[in-house]
Amino acid sequence: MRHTGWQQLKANEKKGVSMAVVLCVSAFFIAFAAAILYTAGLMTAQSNLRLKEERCYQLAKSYAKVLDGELKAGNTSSGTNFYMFANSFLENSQYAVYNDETASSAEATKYKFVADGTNIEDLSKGKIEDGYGNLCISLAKEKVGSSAGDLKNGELDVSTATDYTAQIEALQNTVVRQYVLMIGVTAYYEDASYTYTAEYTREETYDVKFTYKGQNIIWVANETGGGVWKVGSTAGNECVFSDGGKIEYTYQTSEPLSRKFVEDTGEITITGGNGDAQN
Amino acid sequence: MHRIKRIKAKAGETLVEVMASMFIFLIMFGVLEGAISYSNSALKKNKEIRADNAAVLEGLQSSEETVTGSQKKIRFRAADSGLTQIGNVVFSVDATLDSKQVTYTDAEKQQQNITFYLYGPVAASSESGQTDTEGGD
Repeated sequence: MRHTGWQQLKANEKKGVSMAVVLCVSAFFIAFAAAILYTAGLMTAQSNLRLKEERCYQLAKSYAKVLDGELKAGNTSSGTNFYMFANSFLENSQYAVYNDETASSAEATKYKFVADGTNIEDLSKGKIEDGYGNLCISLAKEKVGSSAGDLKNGELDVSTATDYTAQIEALQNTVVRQYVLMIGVTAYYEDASYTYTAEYTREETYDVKFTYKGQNIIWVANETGGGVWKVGSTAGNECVFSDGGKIEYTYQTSEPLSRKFVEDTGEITITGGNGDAQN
Repeated sequence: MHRIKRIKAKAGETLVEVMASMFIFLIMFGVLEGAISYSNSALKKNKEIRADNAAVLEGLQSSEETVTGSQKKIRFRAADSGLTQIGNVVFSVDATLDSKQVTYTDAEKQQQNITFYLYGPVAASSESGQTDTEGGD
């Protein structure tokens, strides 16, 4: 009857094994069943999400088209319209140039604007009509090259027989592409969202002022071709180039002659005009 | 004494243990069977939803009839990058609240209608006569 502890363990070694095996197998079954349920639920949720995503896509894309129309119309009548704001966004140094070196800097240089009435707890809830979800616009800007200040002033040869119309048009058509505006329209609808992005290059042209020996001169083109240089204004006296010299031209960079947004990726900084005007 | 020990050493599971094990296994099989049948019905439902979705999207692509709705001025406020704080109104955009009706045949061969909402540009003539009365704020 002398049982040592080792013998006791040896005698009881198989007791309780059955229950452990049953529990392990049960746990496996439960885990397997849970995995099946989870997968089935996930697939159903994804199928249901597809239409909501399509709704978001339609909303975001259509609103991006509205913004595209605003930019291309170039309406300057109201100070708070999108075209005016996009221009001030590009020119205002308060808005930093997009920096994608790190994720945080990229996020910090993407400026977001949400529709009035947005509930920040649930971005899909706003005050736009039912079915139209909610909108968030993100803007970022990139500098793609030279500024208007880089336009080089120059000189034209004096010749009474020359038709300057084409040369002047070429100078005035010199396009400066300094900024790229990146627009992201995010539409939220219930638990789905979609971001539609577009990029625009802003193109500007500037007026050119001509002087001869310190006097402002203006080219008045004839309908039949050719033309004359007048002093001061179109009604002034004809300019006499008695002792040769050069006509100097300077770009009036304080105010652009024209400004438009073109949907593309800006590659060229300054195009058009003659070679002297380019940098 | 020695013989009893030998008999005990050869002892199998008791009937109660076998019954309990079988009961537990049956429950487990029941759970598994339930999960599989749920999964099957979910799969069937998924197929129906996907088929409906495909029909809707196809209808959406071919549908060109957009109904122009009311005009709305949507004002936009500046927000921080995490969208946790909202500031002042900085710009506003006029748009029309349009819609597109899509008719499709669902998995049960029934004709169904679904409306997609979208924004539209404001016509130039109506833009000039725009009043600043409607929503957004």
